Amino acid sequence: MPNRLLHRGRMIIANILAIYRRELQSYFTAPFYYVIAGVFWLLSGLFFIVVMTTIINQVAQQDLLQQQFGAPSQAVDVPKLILESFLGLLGSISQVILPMLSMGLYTEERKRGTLELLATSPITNWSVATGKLLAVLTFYATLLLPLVVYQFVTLQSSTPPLSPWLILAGNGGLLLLAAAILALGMFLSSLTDSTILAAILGFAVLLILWTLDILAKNTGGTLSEVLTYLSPIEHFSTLTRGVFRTSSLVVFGSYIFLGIFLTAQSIDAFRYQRN
Amino acid sequence: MKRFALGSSAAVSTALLWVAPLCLIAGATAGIVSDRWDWVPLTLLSVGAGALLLWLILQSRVSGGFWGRRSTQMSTNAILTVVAVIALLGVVNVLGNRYSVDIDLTENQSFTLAVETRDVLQNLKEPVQVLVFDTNAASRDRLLLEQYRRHANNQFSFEFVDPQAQPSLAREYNVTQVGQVIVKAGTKTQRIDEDLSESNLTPALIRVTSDRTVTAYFTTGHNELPLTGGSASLSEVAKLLEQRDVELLPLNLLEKGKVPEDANVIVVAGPRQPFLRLEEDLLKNYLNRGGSLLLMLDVDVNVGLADLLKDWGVTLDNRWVIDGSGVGQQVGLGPDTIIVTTYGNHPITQRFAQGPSVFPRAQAIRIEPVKDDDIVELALSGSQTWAETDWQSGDLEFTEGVDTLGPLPLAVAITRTLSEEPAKQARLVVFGDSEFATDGVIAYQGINSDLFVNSVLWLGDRDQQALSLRPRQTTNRRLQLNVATSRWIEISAVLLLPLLGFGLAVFLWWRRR
Repeated sequence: MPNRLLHRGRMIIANILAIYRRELQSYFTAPFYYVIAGVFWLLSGLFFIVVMTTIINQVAQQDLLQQQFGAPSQAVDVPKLILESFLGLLGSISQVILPMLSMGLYTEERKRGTLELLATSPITNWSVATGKLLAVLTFYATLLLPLVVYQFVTLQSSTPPLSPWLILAGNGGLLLLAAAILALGMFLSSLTDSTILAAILGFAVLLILWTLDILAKNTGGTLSEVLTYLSPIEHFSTLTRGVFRTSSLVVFGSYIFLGIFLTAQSIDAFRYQRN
Repeated sequence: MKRFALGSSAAVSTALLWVAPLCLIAGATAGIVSDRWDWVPLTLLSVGAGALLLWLILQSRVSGGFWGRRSTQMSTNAILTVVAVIALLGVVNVLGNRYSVDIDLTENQSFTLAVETRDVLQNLKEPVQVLVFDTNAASRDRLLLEQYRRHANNQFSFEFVDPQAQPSLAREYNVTQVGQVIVKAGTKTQRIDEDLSESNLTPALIRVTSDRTVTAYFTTGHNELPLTGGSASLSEVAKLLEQRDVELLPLNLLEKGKVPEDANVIVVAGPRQPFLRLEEDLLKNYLNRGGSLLLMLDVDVNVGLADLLKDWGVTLDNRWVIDGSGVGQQVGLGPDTIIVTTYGNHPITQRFAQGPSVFPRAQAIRIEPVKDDDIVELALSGSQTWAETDWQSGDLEFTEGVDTLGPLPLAVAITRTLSEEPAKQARLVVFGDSEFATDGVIAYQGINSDLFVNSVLWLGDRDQQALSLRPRQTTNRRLQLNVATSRWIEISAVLLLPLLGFGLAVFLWWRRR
């Protein structure tokens, strides 16, 4: 009995990996994804330079003013400020890029007619969805990697250097936020065979999340607490400030799980319709 | 009048099918996350459950064959699974939220509450509510308040209020600006006008939950330090005391002819003229009735309190204490300014550790124990200090046998038990300097203000809780990139990497063609 279970577990992992590999290959051979990478790198690179120079110059000006008045300089943690602002911006840029990454996850399969194959194959829908999500997340992480390098190179050159944990936590939060958004986007792309519609739906979901975030900040009482807790953006900003919460992991995990689960359900329904 | 035909029940049932899970989820989440099962979640839940029940009834009535159809089974199954999974996730999140562990990764632990604050929160006896009048709740404030809530046993709640949406509430608490914070417990309220932080929220908590105020009388008529004014006044510490709910009142003993009944503390801050016999007797009697007196006495002033001091075994040394270690000179202080880093074990100083306080031109206080007084030397000068006999000539050299070598006490606290039944205590704190608490010196060293404030609070018998909470220092850091690094970063961020992306895209597209 345990042997059979073990065997099944191995099978599932092998299946997920197979899907993961196949997906990744399709990313790294398609020009479209390189265009996205180029745009993302250009935007985030520009923002990084702008945020850094602006903050450094502003603080330098303040220091100068204070010196003229003979007052001690104000306590400002420049590297941490840069990190917080830049990660906030990165979060915003990512929210534009992510629906474009998730829109093709299942719609392409439908177009190519390979969805039936996937739906009727012995590989469970769960494994397919998980493999796809892992692959697209890997692609996003690749996009993020050079930016993390920038952050480490610049922010660690202060004295004393910024704690590396802060940088890791912030970027990890970004990755979790991306995973949650991608998982929901994947579900949306499994509903339709139009890539454009999937992208539009993805933006709509993000808009709803934004609205929830704004609502959470502007309402009082119970509702506000619930919305704040449910807002992935709020959890992300908490992480960028340097507070790691286990409940944030639970929330992001729930979104990811929900996305995968709903995708599997929707593919099930699709298979049933075909019969 | 057109009556709705029951035939449209299909539409109704579809609507119900949508309403039911939505209400159930909303109700469950609302109740669970807020941990308050009041009417909001309960109404939602009951509406949801009712809708679900109605839907099932409708379905069974509409068509007998409905339940037999396979597609229905499928879709019902699917919907039930989705609802079940969402409910399960809800439960997981509730548990995850309730047993959440926070790890503070900031270098100066800026999101971790001080021990004193946690003490206060654990000892809350009545529910405290914090209202933040701000339309846009800053996540920084929210983080702080959530920490507070976590450490209080269900006695702490907070809410963000939009002052435009609820003008009556804003008027009730006299809120005039966005961003002001009201702390309330029972009928007592406290307003915080600055940015919310632990250093002003915790004292506000103490103030709304403590059941009495301290009344401190400052003697006048002998050129004492004023409570308002510039760097030579006590305006800063006066402000701190008022924040701690201490009422500051002037007291001219000659005019009044008696010590007021409501005096918890009497402060004599750096008098320049002697007290008259009558005044001294008033103070002596006040102490002997179980009063509290704070004396801040400078060198070379005849204060006319010799009798009173003798009663308590206190002798003023009347010589400048000089610092020969040279530490002060490194930070621009003269040798006549003592840096104290050794404190007695006493409620006033218990949380100072080794922090430095500064005493300009102070005298030592010598003490002969009387009866069985409890005597604590609050602040001690270092071993490289001495009391300089020849201090007026300006020749500050240690002379063996004439000058007294340190460590010397610069402040003492004496507790005298007057009677066991009913327990009555008289308390006296004597500083050999008054300048240490003035604005000019406090701006230089924060622990000085703590020393003064804590002394007044201890004398006023409120020494139990969060006394020395100062605003947490933010890390002060600048970023200086060397030119080469920043050039490289700029070039690769704006040029190389995007080019790589676009270049590969073009290359692949060309190859495909």
